[in-house]
Amino acid sequence: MKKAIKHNLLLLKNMPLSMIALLLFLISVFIIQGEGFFIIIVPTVTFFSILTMESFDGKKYNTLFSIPITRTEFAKAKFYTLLILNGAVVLFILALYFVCVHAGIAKLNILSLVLELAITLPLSIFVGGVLFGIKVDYIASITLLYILIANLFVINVNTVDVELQIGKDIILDSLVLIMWSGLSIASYMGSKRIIFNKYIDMEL
Amino acid sequence: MENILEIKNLSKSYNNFQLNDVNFTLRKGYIMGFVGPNGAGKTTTIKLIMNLIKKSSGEIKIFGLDNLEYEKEIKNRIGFVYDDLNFYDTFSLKNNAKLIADFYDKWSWNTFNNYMEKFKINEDQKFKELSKGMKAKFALALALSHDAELLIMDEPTSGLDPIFRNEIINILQEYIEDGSRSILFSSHIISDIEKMADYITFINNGEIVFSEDKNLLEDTYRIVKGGLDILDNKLENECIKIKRNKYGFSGLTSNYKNLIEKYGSDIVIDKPDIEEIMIYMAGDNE
Repeated sequence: MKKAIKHNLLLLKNMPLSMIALLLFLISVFIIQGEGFFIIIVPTVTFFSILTMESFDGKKYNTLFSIPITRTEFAKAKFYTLLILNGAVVLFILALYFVCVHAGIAKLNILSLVLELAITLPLSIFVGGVLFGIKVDYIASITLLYILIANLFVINVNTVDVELQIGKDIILDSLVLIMWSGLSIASYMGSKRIIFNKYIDMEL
Repeated sequence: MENILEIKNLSKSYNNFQLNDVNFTLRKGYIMGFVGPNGAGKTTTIKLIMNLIKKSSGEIKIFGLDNLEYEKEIKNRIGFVYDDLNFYDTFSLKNNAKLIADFYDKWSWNTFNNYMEKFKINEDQKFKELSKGMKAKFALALALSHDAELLIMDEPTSGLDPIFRNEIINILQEYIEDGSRSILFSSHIISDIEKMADYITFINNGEIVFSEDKNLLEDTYRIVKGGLDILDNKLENECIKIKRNKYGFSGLTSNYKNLIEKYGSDIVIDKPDIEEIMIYMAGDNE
């Protein structure tokens, strides 16, 4: 399985320049804007990475399933690649954020950062699983649609004048934490199931 | 003698096609030509062997091991070349090889480089820049570079010119020379099969028509020809298939000695080639 994960990650070295340029553009825009930086950038980088991998692997399953690897190992490798990718992207984006804060380009907003990361992690893993599960031809459209919807969501949240109650009531905080844990576990399980179903049942 | 590949009662159902009760074995050190018309079930059988599709029923053993239970171990010992050469188009051949090589326990870069040199392929070229023949040779170099004991090839020579095909056949013959390796080679180009195969398995409409030693096959069957006036029930029963036209009849038989005794100079007996045997076997009485 390690070999398959390595294979997946090696494919990322060949991410098209157009995709890298679009990501750099989005990162610049949203880091200056402040709000929505994590919620838009982390999933988008993850989804573009999936698009890169699947553009290469998507039509080569005859070859990939003929080399010494089982379907289960292959599916596991795809799922763990998604988790690794997501983790690595979060760390990279966090580091970039703090560098920008230090340089005075972005403003530090801890509450926004924690909230955005809390929403981003399960969302990114679940949608990432769905993207692995669908035909490669649709991944780019769904990623662009995600950017659009996430942006609309951020704009709407910013314009609503409601004070967040988080940190003011221990019961409410506990409930939010429980809900978030449930959602994260569900997205983890759901994503795993979608990926496994695709690769284990695939007929070529 | 040790069987490298054993297929027993293998079936696979699709809405519009059924592979039905396929049985054959391939012994160590031999080349089996797997032949049949387009859509006969060759690729489906190969996909089942490689676990690219799921069987409806039956058993596949490779090196004496179940192909599903020991999938990884088995695939480590198999080299494959398919008609649809699916590699990474925009990657150099070296990078393509790197992506594949990692998965094999016995991969040898020395062997791979030797084959690349022998085939006069530049490893810095991108896969998409190669001609179909060169792509087939590259796939063959990959298949031969991890000491595979069984090569599974699905129409590797289709669409290639005779010179390329001949080169590939020579390489394969060289590869199995030491007697420890075997090849399952599917093709509808019978001349390729005749040149290299020791055994021939003929599949038609999803069913195995015969799976026999090539020499035995050539010795067993004859084509009998004659006028319609001598074509009686007895003669018809001696033939596996009969074709009639206004000038006479021709039929495929395995009892030609009896026929010579009975009909003498009224009939003509010809030795058929593999292609003729297949055409008779696959066709209906006319």
